[in-house]
Amino acid sequence: MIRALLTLLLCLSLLPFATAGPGAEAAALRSVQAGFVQQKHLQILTRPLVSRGTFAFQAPQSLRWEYLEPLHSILIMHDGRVEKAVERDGRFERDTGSGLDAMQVILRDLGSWLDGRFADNPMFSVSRRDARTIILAPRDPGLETVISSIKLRLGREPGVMESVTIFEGPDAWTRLTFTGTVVNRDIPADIFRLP
Amino acid sequence: MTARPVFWLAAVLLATSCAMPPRAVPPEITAAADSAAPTPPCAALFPAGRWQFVHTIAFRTDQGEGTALGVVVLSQTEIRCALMTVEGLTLFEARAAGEAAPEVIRAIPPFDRPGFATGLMRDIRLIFRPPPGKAETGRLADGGPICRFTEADTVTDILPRQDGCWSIHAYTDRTWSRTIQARACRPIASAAIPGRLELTAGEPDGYSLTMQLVSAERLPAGD
Repeated sequence: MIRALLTLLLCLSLLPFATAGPGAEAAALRSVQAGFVQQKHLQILTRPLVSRGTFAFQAPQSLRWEYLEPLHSILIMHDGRVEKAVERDGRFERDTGSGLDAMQVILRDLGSWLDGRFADNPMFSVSRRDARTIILAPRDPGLETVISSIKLRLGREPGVMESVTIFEGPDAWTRLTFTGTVVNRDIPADIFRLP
Repeated sequence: MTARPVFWLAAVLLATSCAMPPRAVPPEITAAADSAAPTPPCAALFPAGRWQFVHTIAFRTDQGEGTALGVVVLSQTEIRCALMTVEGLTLFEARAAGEAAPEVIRAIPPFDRPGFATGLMRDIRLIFRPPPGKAETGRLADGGPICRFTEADTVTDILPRQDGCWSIHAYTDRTWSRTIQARACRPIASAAIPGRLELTAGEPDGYSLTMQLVSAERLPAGD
């Protein structure tokens, strides 16, 4: 179950890049950078729990997924490796016991995500509610107990994702809303290194 | 969110027996309190009314460490809690009325193992609720004030400090079981809320939790 969970989380982290659509347009997607606001809704929460962060992706397989608050943490995928660090008492500590092998498995799926070929990932069945809304439903019953569905809201421009909503159950869901998306701008290489 | 930290977080909180070597039995209360009042100011150290707390939780054991987000919602009659990954996925959610056994709303493995919900709720009660039992106040040999709550084989000592924070030491069968250090306390909605809580437990293998306050919000009255 945990492995499936990790797999899913990494899929979600890659989703913002998977919006360029199939064909030549998608192949031209070299990099994406954006900020995000994550709102966590739970039955017990009187108000949603808000996290903020940024991400940077560079084709073919480099990712920096960084939460700035409430907990500063950085996930790096680069050169086939996956690393994570969490800031504790003012300094970053590597998250060493992380079972990151599951994340590396997902990196192999990145190409299909970038091409907008959502259906290539066997973990999910894919349907379109309208031109800009994609629904992913887990095929694995085990995964379904963790995530009931995922809704992708595509932006009006290629390469831009408006939001991702992850439904865990009727009263539990998380929405990532992306802002300030920049496509195909050069990204310094040291962005994909942990501090 | 990673597999091994999740496992260890579950493992350390699942602890139920085989305590570490005890630090000390409850210390002697050498002088009675000046007032006949049973517990003040100790009871006032705990948040009253309805609150929502969010903490980052760093956990450490001999075998591993990791980080999660924790939510606790208190009301007069109920405690609700949730653990989440940094990425926002819900690992565990439960609620408990009074001293009743917790009702688990959601738990993904390994947080669905027997004893986890009870152990987690026990720690939350120790942190956020005045201890049950007969109360006495006094001073320790070093002159520091103490509030002691005794119920059956459980003794809970609260040691208020001059900086407005406090320590809690819990004993079972005259053996130390856990300590909580509250630090960086500051007034929020007329309550002294710790900015940092450090829990050290002496159950199998021992574990420690460092809880850094993200938000403390007084909620409107009503359950």
